[in-house]
Amino acid sequence: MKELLKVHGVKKYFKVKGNNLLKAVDDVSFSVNKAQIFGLVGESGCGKSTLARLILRLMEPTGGEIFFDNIDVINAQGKALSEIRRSLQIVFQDPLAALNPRRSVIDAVGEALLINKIARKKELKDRVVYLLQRVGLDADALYKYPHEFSGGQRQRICIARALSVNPKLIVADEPLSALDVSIQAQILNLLEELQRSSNLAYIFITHNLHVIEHFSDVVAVMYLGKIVEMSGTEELFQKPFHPYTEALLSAMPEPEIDKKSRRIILEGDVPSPVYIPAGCPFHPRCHKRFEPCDTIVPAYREAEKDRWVSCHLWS
Amino acid sequence: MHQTLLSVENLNISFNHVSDKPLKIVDDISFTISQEDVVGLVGESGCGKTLTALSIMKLLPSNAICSGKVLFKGENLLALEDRKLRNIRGQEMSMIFQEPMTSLNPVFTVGYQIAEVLMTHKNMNKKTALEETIRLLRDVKIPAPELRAKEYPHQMSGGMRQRIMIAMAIACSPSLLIADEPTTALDVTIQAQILELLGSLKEKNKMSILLITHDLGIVAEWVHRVKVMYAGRIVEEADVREIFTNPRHPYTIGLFESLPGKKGEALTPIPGQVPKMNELPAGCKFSPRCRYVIKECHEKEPALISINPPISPLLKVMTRRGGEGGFKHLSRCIRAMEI
Repeated sequence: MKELLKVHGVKKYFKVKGNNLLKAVDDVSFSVNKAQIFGLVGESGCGKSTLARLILRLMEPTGGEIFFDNIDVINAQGKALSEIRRSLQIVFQDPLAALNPRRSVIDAVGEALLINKIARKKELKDRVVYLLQRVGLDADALYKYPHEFSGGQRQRICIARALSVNPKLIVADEPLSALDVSIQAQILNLLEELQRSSNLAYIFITHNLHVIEHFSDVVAVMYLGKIVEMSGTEELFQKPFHPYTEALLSAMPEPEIDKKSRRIILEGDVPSPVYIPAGCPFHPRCHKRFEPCDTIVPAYREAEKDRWVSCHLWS
Repeated sequence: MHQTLLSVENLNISFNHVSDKPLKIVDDISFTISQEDVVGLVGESGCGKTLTALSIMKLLPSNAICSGKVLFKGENLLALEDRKLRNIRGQEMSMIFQEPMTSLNPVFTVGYQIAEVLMTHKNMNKKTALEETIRLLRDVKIPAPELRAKEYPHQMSGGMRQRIMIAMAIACSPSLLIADEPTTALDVTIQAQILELLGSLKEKNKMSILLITHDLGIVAEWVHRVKVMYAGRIVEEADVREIFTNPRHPYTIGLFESLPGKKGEALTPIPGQVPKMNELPAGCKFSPRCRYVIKECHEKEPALISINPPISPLLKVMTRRGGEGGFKHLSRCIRAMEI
């Protein structure tokens, strides 16, 4: 399969009070293939959204390299940059915040079509109607404003807007979290269908492991700015390697009666990313920690084929 | 058989609407909670579950019009004067909310906020109240409670703040705890911590819990008796095992089918969207989204009726996980037995 996105050693540090460094993303590497669904999981504050913004170049990284379709994302200028802006799109968590309340659907969805010269002014309406149909909305939505829609419909508008410029990769940052359960399934089905019909790749960011299990081909688990485990979805859910992944999986409540597996309750909270613990960043909360964990940082290595993990248990 | 602790009878909540007659948000809800029972109210946003909970505490906004009865230990709370009500609130029943940051006062230390409950309800002096606060903080597993008591809400993490809320809620060992989406704002690993904590406190204090949630995973693990709400009505009600193994309302079935399973398994979402409360359809409120819909569904709203099959008393005992009404299975669907 052809590699579409390559992220290598990417870092993003923020200077915070007292000349400390907040390491939001620290030395992250992975790649996404064409038409692949790459799931990114982790708890709030682990750096998943920062990583998404770095990939989209909405932020400049402190270090590392990002290549998208052989374009150097970080140093892209002019034509190459507009190519990236076109083929990399994002869908955010809260569609109401992502849409301008004073712009109608045809303006919101059509703007990028005009800017990128994909459609001319007189064919704009037909084009937007086509896009709306693809996301399951009627043509009478054209001249309505965001407040006239429900949450699920607004998310459909955001998806139509992302699709309008024929992207190759869509970053979906918690696209379901603001929606009700019955609507989540609608949007998930829509994303799945679009992926198949347009050969899209997704980076799907979520904290909902059920969704990841259902949806993604590959999963990366982030903790305090680092990927601690990356593997094929099925393998990861069958047998997690990293103790953090194991705890995450065991913590998710199963909507099934009589399915009570042993729950691993982690101690304490996620530490502040300004004061990352020495050694393995996860060791203070780890139920399997042993001698080297509090002093030596475990290497991120391929423990088995296509299964990457950073844990002393696997080195 | 445990005694009935709370019984809500024909609860209606409406609001004055701009145009014409009052807009009914909660429509004729009745249920009971027995001692040490965990009752779950399940439903999507806007279905009226939070308003139901607020009405039990009599915390509804002042423009709400509320009728019916909320009997707590035999006394109708809706008719009770405020002074008497204050003795019940916080002491005999208390509530925790979804977002702990908005429920805590940002300008007082958390220790003071917990101690205040004890000073008000238990007439403790400041010194004993603070000592008791430390003990409560230890109960909710806050590390270094003596130091933490002197901190302000903003110095704590979300999970920690929710623990503070819980400490405050259980300060007077209430017999009923109303938990409105208590873990929705928290991460999964923290959610697991908080749920475990609530479970152990429930055992220890012999509390009943009214749990409001949209997470069917939490329902499966936690709740004894489930009430599924849609558009301000209870549409199905049964013991948790019965709901999960034998759902008998199209909406409940739809909720289960909307849950993502293994890779490749197709999802069957519920089509359409939750109707606005001022644009409810005639007849069954779920009919426009229902795939089992027939002509009769549009004509008359079905009543919430018992659909129990005849069953041997022995099996009744075996399948019951507790709770008033035990085995009763109710559904608001005229085709409940066919689907």
